[in-house]
Amino acid sequence: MEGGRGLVEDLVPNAEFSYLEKYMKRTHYFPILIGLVVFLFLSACSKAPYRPKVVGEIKSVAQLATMEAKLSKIVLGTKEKAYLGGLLKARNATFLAHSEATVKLGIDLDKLQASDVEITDNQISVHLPPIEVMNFSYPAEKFEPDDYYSSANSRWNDFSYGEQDELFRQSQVAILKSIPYLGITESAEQRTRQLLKGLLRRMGYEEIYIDFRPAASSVSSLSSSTL
Amino acid sequence: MKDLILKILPWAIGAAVLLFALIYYNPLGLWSSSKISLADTPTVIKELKELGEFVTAEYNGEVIESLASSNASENLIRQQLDSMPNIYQRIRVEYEKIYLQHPNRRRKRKKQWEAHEFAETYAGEIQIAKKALHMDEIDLLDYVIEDSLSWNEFKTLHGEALRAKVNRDLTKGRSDKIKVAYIGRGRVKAGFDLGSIEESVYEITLSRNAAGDSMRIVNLDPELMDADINPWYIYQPEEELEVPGYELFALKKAGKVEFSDVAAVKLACKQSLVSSALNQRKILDYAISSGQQTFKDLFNMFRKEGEPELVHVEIVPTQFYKFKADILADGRIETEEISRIRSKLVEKNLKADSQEAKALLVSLNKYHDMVLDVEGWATLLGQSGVEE
Repeated sequence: MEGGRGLVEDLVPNAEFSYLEKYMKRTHYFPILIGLVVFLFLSACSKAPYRPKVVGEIKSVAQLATMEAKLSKIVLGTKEKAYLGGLLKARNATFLAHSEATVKLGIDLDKLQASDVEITDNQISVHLPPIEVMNFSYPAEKFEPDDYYSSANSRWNDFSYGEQDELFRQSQVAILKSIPYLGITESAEQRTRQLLKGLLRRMGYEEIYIDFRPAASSVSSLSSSTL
Repeated sequence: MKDLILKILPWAIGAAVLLFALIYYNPLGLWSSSKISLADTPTVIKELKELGEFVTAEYNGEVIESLASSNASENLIRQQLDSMPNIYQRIRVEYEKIYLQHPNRRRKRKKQWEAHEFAETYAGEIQIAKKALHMDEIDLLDYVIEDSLSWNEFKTLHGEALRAKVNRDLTKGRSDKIKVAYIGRGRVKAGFDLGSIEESVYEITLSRNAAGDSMRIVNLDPELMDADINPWYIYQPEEELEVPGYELFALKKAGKVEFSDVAAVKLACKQSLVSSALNQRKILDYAISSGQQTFKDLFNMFRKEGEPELVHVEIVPTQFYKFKADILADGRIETEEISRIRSKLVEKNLKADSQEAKALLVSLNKYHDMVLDVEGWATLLGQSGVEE
């Protein structure tokens, strides 16, 4: 290693390494630079700003909520965690919580057009918009985690608060998907008919016919005004 | 050797930086990957209720709250205080049982407390009570057994001291270390409850002139109908719109943060949203003006042929509509709020059994499931001749 000879020259004697040696000196800090560039790149990628637009506005609506259902659901989540592309696996963690949701069903009167109402003397026919979810409430203060069944099975795998939020989001979608099968839509139709008939009788109508336009089936269209 | 180290060192540092970046930022799940799945548990209907809510105003807003905010601290204190009555009652009942069996031990209670079979048999209960009630054993004995106070009596006498102690215990050594902050996005809705038309006190008068009909609805109060921040604020995957309602913004010392801390911050977000809708956006006044227009459009759509057009609708609320909303905004009616209602009646020179006072109490009694001080509420209703 005398006279500044390099590692490569020591290992392979008598070779012409002067160019290589100079090149290596120039690139002495290359590995650190590469590491820093990757670090900065990943850091920049991970901090990409995500700011969904929420308009802080107040608006006029015309919704008639006619039926309220209090629902309960057990939120049971499992979390699988693997390291190094699946070479190492931690034991599954579980999270269990009791939750309550309140759904209000009714009709959006903004969707009622003049053409939906037919009047002849004392007879009136009204084609109402379909029953929709007017309000969905899944309050965080009604989430009660069950410490006995919720377990972080190892320090390498437990539910973070962000992941618990993700579970509650999945649970919200599951509840909304189940609403059409709970039989409460029919109850809401009956109650809406009852309320509207009462109003129309007071206005002097003797023959009243009320029907509903067919309901959409997907989650977001069922509850487009609330989700 | 020095040269060897000098040449290896940059590679080692570079590799360490790279490894740290891969572990910390975990691109494409190279270092670790996790999968969260929700079990397919059933959704169960607990209760069905008929409504007649006519919603006329909706506020969409975004707020940010942290554990350091006054609302979140207050929520934490309330959580602790809310759990106390049951524990207080349980420990009192159990203790009385023991003394009924051994009445002569009452005189020696303080000395014998530690050795007492109650302490042995109910060691777990005592620990829970001590922690939950923030008392030492002697205090517990004095308050629960010796004074034989009901929880409400106890709370009236010692509430302030207890609250201060809970606050001290909750914040001691924690508030500086842990940090939880959430962004909350949600909706607040206001409108009119038309469901209980028969019980309501509002009056409708119709007048007709050359221009058309006018309707005046007196004593119809706008109310807050819903205030929600849900896990999803917007979920419309087919339109690639997925915006969470609650978004964890900052978390420090996650290991020391408890679920109740997170719940307190989330509730504070909701309270802040409601406050914004009520005080800054004046949602109740907006609900009145929007309601007038909607009622007019709706009645005109249903009016018979040849009848004059409804040209004007006026909604006149009672003098208490903002006060009521303020009482109900936090979703609970406590002893202090019952006192506020009494003070309001005095301030307005209203006797407890006057028509206006009755109307106020009847409209508040719709929310009797929010009442925490059941005895206090029953007394107030009784004085006004309002049936529960």
